[in-house]
Amino acid sequence: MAMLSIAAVLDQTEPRQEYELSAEGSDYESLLVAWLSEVLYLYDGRGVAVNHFRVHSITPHAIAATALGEPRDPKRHPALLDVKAVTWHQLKVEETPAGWVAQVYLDI
Amino acid sequence: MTAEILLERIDEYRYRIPRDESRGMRTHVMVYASAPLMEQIRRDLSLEQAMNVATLPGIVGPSLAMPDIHQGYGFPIGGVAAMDENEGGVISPGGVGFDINCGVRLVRTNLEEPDVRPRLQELVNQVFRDVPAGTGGSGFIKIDRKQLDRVLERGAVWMVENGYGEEHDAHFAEAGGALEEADPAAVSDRAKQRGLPQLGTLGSGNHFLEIQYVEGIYDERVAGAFGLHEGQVVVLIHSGSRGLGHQVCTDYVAIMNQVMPHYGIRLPDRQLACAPIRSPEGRSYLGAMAAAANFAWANRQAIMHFLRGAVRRIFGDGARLSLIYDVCHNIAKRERYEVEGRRREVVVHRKGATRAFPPGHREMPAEYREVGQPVFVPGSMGTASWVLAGAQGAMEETFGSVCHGAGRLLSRTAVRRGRDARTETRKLEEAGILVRSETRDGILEELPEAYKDVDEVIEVVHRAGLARKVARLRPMGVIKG
Repeated sequence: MAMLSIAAVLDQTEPRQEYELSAEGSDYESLLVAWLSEVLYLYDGRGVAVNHFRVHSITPHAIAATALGEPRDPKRHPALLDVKAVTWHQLKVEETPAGWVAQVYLDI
Repeated sequence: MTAEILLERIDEYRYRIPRDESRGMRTHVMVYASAPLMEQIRRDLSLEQAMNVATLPGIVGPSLAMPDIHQGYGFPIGGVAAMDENEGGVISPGGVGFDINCGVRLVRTNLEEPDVRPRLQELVNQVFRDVPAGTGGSGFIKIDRKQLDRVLERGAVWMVENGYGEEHDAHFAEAGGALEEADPAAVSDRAKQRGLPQLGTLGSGNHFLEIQYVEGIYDERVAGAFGLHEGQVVVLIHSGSRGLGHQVCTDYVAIMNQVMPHYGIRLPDRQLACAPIRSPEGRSYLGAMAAAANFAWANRQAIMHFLRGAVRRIFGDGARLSLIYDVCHNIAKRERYEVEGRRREVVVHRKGATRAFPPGHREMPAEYREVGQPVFVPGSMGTASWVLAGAQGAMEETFGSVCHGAGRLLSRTAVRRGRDARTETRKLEEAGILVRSETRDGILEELPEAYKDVDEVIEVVHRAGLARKVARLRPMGVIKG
């Protein structure tokens, strides 16, 4: 949701439809890039504004989830800027005492 | 951040970072910069990234850094690297960038600055209406998947043939507005889906359409060949391959990360992911990249077509707009150079760098062959842009390449801090520059303070003999995504 909040204002999004998403990766970092790239494609390729995600399963190598949202309407979901892609630049996924911490750079 | 890097000053405009085998470098790094620019360059990770590029298999000559170099993802922005496929040379999608064939085209008009100034607001509003930014949804061009494949094959040529341009437009684009190696089948359905509604749209970020006038001419003969004179109104269009190119890069970085172990390639940064040029993955990427590049040329062609309509609505049908040239600054190209006394074909990665072929080179329109290829270097909104012509030094030292912009100095977040869009827009208006932006933060992030001094950058490439100054352009009206 943090990534999508960079691309558009999504406060007005209703969870009207369900969209299935999944991603795979050989390690945590590649899984994170693959997952965020899926979410970005849902927004920019399929034109979906997302209200929230329901995660069904998450392992070190795969994520399966449902996105709840609706088709994008530029009037109700005004664009802020284009998120071009999810990068591997200084990518980090770490488990800390406070929980998991991830760092990812988006190309905008 | 890069204090530990050994930097040898060669002359006033050249620095060298020697090859360090302990870091896996296969060659040295050559940086084109003045002392003040180098001080700014050292503040981010760009030199380290240029050193990482020097580790790529099959690199020929040095890893090159232009004076506008700044930190990118994997490759630095302002980086150039040539690879020889006969020596295991690789192709790296990150070395081209997410925005494949991001580039600029300069359009000359038969209007003069005093004619346009009184109607500037009207013109800016009209262009803002007629040239879609495309960030909120789709553009005005409705094509189906089959037509999209034709666009991917034939780029700007398809657009002109289908009513989005005038006869000679494609002739004046780099590569004639279409790379022949394009392979639409190598472009994923996802990339096509992202690109389809975005053809003919500017995009956000640093993309723009700028109405400018020629403030000064530095070389009368070359300016004459480009059809430029003082006081003339020109328009600079900066855009790329939109979501289509972004997805092609995303797809192939993932593919190459998977196959690198198979080719025994280990790299210091996964964003540099690559595969041998001759591998199935390398070939496939080159076909997809060329298709995305063609999409970008088609995109800039469509934007120019919409611009023509807007200008004629304000100034009548007598208003003439012709393309001077269209150059890409994110691309990989097969080109021939003399390297270490041997003629070789190499694949030149230009990541935030512009091709700058000298007089006599056959790969440019015959109209410019005596003076050199036009190069356009946009500055920031409030400053200036430059027209240059390629020079012989670029062929001898930089694989026919020069800089592509002023180079970012402050991050987008840093420049937004403590500033508000309304005040900054008013300041620009007081300086005679009208700005309209589709997105809220579009103006703030691209303020002049965010960039290095473009004049200093130009001075370096001019004095280093990579390109010659031709004309300086001043902005009047800016339309942003």
